[in-house]
This record gives sequence, structure tokens and C-alpha cells, in this order.
Amino acid sequence: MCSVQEEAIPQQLNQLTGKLQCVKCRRDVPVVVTRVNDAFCQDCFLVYAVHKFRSAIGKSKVIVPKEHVLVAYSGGPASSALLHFLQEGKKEGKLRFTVTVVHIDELALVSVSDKERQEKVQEVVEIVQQRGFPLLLTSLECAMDMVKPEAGESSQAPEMCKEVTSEKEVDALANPDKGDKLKKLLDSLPSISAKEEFIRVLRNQVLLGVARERGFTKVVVGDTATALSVRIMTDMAKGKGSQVSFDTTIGDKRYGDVMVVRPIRDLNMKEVEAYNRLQNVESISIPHIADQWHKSNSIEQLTAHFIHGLQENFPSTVPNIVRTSDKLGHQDIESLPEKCSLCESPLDTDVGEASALRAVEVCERLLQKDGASRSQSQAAQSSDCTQHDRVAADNMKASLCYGCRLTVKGLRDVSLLPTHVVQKSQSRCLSRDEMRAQISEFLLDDENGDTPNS
Amino acid sequence: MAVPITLEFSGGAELLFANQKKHSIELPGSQKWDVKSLLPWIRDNLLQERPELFMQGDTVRPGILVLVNDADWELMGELEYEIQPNDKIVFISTLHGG
Ligand SMILES: [Zn+2]
Ligand SMILES: [Zn+2]
Repeated sequence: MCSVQEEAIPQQLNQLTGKLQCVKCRRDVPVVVTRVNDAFCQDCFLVYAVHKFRSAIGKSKVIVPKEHVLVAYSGGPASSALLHFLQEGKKEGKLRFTVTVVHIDELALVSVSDKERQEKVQEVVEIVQQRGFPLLLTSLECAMDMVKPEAGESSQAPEMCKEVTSEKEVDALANPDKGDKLKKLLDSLPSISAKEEFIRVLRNQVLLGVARERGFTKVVVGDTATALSVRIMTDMAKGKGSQVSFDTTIGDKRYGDVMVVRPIRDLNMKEVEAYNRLQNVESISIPHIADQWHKSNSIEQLTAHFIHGLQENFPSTVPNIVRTSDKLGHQDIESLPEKCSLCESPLDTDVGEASALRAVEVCERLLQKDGASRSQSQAAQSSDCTQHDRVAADNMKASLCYGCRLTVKGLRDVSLLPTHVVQKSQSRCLSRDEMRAQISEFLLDDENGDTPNS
Repeated sequence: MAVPITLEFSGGAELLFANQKKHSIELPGSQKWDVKSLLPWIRDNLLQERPELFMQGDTVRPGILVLVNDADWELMGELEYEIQPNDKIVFISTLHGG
């Protein structure tokens, strides 16, 4: 946003170009104004969009030739465009890797009949088959109980996903028990911001889970520049600032064994919609739980509104945010072996005593004490909820990154969380005690190194 | 002389219009219509819920794309564009992502 002067106000374009020509070919009538305020004709715009996609993949070299990658398809406009790019690339023989598509059915959260659910999944199946890619189906509730590969010799573990081979057999991987568990968990999260964040984390977990189960090391997603800039600002607001540097990279390595690849991160939503319209790319409108929430109330929706508003008058808003995040460095993942047991981002809570995080914790403790003494009766009641529960809650908290701590903060019963997350937090606590004993003599007291200011 | 036009809502914007994507309408009266006067007409006559998700001030809410006869409305004069009979005006919400 420091480059206000560079931006021509869109309206001036009319007067400047007089009788309106495409800036590229200087011949045809323009139909799309892109973020740099260049007005493109249909043909030149399509060339521009495809170029953005291909050069992102080509330049970054994140996908190795002949690799088999997993592509996440929600049915929405961005991932629909992504599939179309991939199909076109394949047709022209320019796609140097193979693609399997995965769709996460999230309809468990919405009150739809089984029949409606089937029909929506059927729509997804038809589009993916039209594009000529094999499809794996999975569901969001799968993330309520995921067997981790390192723990998983147990062969009777349920599969996370299944292939759709013929159009007829599309019964979604719906699991009523896990679906209910998920709904119960979401209901007990106090704010819409927390619910939104939780769904996002689960979705990511399902993608990683399917990738690991099927042996993929790359998951390709349809994050647009617009979505990413909202993501970055939302993450900052939600205490996930330490993860922002991963959010926009074309090859996100934070998970170690599986890389998340974002080949359309240089296109914004407007460009995606224009592409879909000009290419007749269908997308599916699937009912989503977020539609029922009063949108303007959550951090994510407020942020989206803010960014769209800025983008309207300053078209370089979105690319500027993304570029700024690109410049942020992040710690070497290998030096940070510990991962948050919910979102798998590197744990950002192992910071010095003089950090902002510790200050927040002290404040919280003081507030708790104060509250406890004021409402003795409540305290007496809650002592019923046993020591065991409190230890479980503390162990859980210790195994989460700062952002996830905030997300599950209002959750009264941590055993509602996905089974594998609970397990991880327990085993972490056990091994942590042993480890501390082993390395205690090497630990320095009160590190005064650079403590991050969050 | 009423002005017949087609309106289309997509990308989630249709949710505000009883989930109906295409609307063939006639703008009443003999006055000239432009996009600026069309928007409140849509709000008062077609919109089913939550006007704040469609309009902001006298224009569309940021994040909603407008196409006039398949061209970016920024090329057509935006609010000042004078509506012609049989125009097709499309509103695409980009707020739902995907
Ligand atoms: Zn051109
Ligand atoms: Zn986390």
C-alpha cells in the first residue's frame, strides 16, 4: 500500500485509452480489468491467466517431473479453475506430473438429507470425471479420528478415503458417529471465529491424512491471492502470526513429509471468476455451515470485508500483502521438531520467560485466581470436575501452538477434540518429562535471546 | 416504456435472492435507468435478506464483481452506465472463495 502513486484509478482508463483497446494486442475490445488496471481482451486475458498458473509451477520447481500429486477440489470457483488449468495443461501435453483429485465432503455439518448429500457428491464426481482425473472421496468428519502413520501398524484402521471408479457408487464417506462428534465439538466452541478456524484446521488435517495414507508427498490447493491475503491478516489477528510466513509460499513445507503447493496464488478471485466465465468452467454451490452464521461477525469475515474494501480502491492491496508475507523468513523446520498436535504447525510456544506469551499467561493465571476467590460456589462446583480433567486440559494446552490454544480456549471438555489429538497430547506429556530429565543439565536458565514480539 | 433486462447472481450472491440465479425483469417507468438506480431497485424488489451483503452505500459491496454484457463494469462506466433494453448484468460474489 506504499505504492499508491503507481495505481491508476480504474475509471481513468476510459479517458486514457479513449476508444478502449486491449493493452496487450492493442486491437480487440477489452472485457476484463486486472489488478494492475490493465484492460485485457478475452484472448489476451486467458493467455495471461494460464501464464500465471504455469509460471508459478515452472519457476518454483516444487513439483518434480513425473511426480504423482494430490489435488484438493472443493467444488468452489478457485479449485474449479485449478482443475481446468490442469486439464488444459494435460491436453497440451505440458503437464509433467500426474494428478489425483480429492474431495472433502463437508455436508455433515449442514442439515441436508442423505439424498441431497449424495446428489452434491454426484455433482463433484461428474465434474472431476469430465476433467479426466481419478477421484478420491473423503469427509470432514474423518478428521475426528485419524490414525497417525507413525503409530499405525494397526491394519484394521478405517480408510480415510476411497476411490470413485464408476458414477454409480458415490455414497460419500459419511460417518454418522464421527459426524455427531464433530457437530458436538463445534457446538461447544464459543465463537464463530473459533468454529471457522477449527473447520479450516480439520480440513487441512484430512488433506494431510489422505495424502499420507495414499503415499502422496504433495497436496495442490486452489488458494488465490485474495484468499491468501485474507488468511495472512486473519492469522495475525488470531495469534497465528508465527505461521504467516508459511501461508503464502508456493511450496509450504511446514508439515515436513507432505508439501502444500499453491499454483494459483498469483491470481486473485476476480481473475479466477473472469477465467471461469470466459472458459465456461462450472463450479458447484454446495451449502456450507458458514452460510448460516452471521458472516460479518467473525474475524475471518471482517478481515475479508476489510481487504475487499481496500482492494476496490487500491488494486495492489492483495499482491502487496502477499508479497510482504513472502519476505518474512521463518525458522528452519528441521530445528523445530515439535509440532502443534492439532494443526501440525511448528510449536511457537517454546519461548523465553521475558516473552509476550509468558506475560499473557501470567495475566490469565491472575485473572483465574481472582475469579475463583470471587465466586467460591462456582469454584467448589468445578472442583468436582476432577484433578484428572484439569491435568488433561493443561497437557492439551501445552501441546498446542498459540493460535490453536486460542481456538479451543472456550472448550470445557478437551476430550471432545479429535481422538488422535488427545492421544498425541498425552504421549507428548509422558515423553516430555523423560526428555527434560535427560537434558536438564544442558538447559540454560532465562534465555535473553531475541524474544519475538507478538 | 419498461426496460427488459436479465440479471444473474452467482458465486454465493444467489443465496440472497432465494437461491435463484437468473432473473428476467422489466424496469418500470419511462425514465432512464443506470446501474446506480438499478442497485436500489434490486435491493427493494428482488433481494430477500441481508441487504448489507449486497450493497454498501450506493454501490455494490466490495468483493462483488459486476459484469455488463459479459464485460467488466469498470470498462462500462460502473454506476454511470446507462442500461439498454436486453442488457445482461451479472453479479458474482467472490466472498465465498473456494
Ligand atoms: Zn488482446
Ligand atoms: Zn496449532
